[in-house]
Amino acid sequence: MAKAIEESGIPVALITALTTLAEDVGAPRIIQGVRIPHPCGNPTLPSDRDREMRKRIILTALKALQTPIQESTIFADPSVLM
Amino acid sequence: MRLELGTFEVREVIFGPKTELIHHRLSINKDEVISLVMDDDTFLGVEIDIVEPGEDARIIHLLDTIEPRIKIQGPGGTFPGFLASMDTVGEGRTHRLAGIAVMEAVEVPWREKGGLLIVREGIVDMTGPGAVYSPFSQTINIVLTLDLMPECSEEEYDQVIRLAGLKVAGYLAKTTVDQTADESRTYEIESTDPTLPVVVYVHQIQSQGTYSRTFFYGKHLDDLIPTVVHPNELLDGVLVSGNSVGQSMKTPTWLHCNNPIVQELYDDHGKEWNFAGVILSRGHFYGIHEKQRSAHQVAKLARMMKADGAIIAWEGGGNSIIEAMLTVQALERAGIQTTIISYELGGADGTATPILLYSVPEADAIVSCGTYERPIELPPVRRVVGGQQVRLDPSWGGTYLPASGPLKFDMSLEMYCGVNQMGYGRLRCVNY
Repeated sequence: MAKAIEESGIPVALITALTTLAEDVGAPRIIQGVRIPHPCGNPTLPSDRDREMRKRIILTALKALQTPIQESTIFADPSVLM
Repeated sequence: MRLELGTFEVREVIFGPKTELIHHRLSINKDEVISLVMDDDTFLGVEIDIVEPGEDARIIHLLDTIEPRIKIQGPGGTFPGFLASMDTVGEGRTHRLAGIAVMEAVEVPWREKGGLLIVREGIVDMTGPGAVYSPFSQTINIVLTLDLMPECSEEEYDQVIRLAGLKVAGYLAKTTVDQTADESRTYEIESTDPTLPVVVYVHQIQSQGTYSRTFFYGKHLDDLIPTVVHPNELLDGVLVSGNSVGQSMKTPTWLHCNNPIVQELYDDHGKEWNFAGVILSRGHFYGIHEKQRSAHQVAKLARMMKADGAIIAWEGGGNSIIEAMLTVQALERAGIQTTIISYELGGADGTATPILLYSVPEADAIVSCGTYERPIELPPVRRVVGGQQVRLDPSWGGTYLPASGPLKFDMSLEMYCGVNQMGYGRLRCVNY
């Protein structure tokens, strides 16, 4: 779906925990999500830290949308690496 | 580590006044088995049935399947962490009852609608077209149909069912004490031929939570960081399955003890290769970094074991193929030639995409162990053991059908061990 939308001229950022899978199918902008059950945040963190993480992921996605790309590209906020 | 494994072939199982093994005939005192199981008050009742190969019978609601084994001499005991101490096993002498399986059949309550980690229907047909799907159509099965006390927690059910099966298996194996085995074989991998290549086996299990776990010396492996296991330990039952969320693609305890890949690697150890051991890893991690960590740690251990080659088999379905494939990649990049065993998708005729949910370019040696994506029709049977109705579609709240059949499935996901990635089965594909 991400690919099809991108091809119609609308930039797409796909937030996913499984970046390798997204890369495999050629999704354009791949945003590193947290884990499969909760890609856009981390409910195991205290709520204020979770909110901060969710904000960072969304900001990474918005920034990625403004970035021209040639091929599948992974965008990751370092705080998601854990 | 040297382990002598004594095999006792069982050709007939009957109920009798005394539990004993005489001339390949296992006689079982039913009352003793009942009191052994009912010792736990989580059970309201237990039925015990003997189901034979070729019988016009169907077993349903299957959870774990266990081969009776017992430690005769040497440290520890079989199924450590459940029936024995934490002593490291894999040495001395162990007895096994071959040709039979102890099975747990339970209709575990479905408290949640859907979800991935829910007990799913597991079926063995002893005859007819369904029989080829399960290796357990070939064993004489001693089925414990357990009736659960209501209102207990999922964790309690999960644990007591597992213990019931293991206890009965241990009890039956006691019949071999002081008897001479039909066949004895010594297992060891320490003497090697330095001119031969070194091969390791990567055993990727599933362990995600209640009803989907694998246990190592009694400890669940939900947070497993890859570790090295001596193959002799597997023969003594260090891995116990509590995984019932994907019945066609699971590894029951019986198969952890009788892993055909491990057997093959022992068979030609010192002749074709040096079998350096087993690396135990886990799939189904929820985060990509956890998957990558697992893959890289497996490759590190394989390098420390000086492996030239590796074989990977992975349990379960879905995203777990990502760990398996990333492990292939990490091993190949470390210069270790790797073969992976997997079932394939491909739809009913095998040509639809994807064939594999995920792959890597380094996966250039893949062995297929079948597919669950083909429709299957099971004819009516005379005898049903384990319950009365098969239970399907947890996400729809459950569909109940008379288990005596006929039954039609779009896929063979309910067929017990039908596409197990150990490759232990009777279905094969022929090009013509």
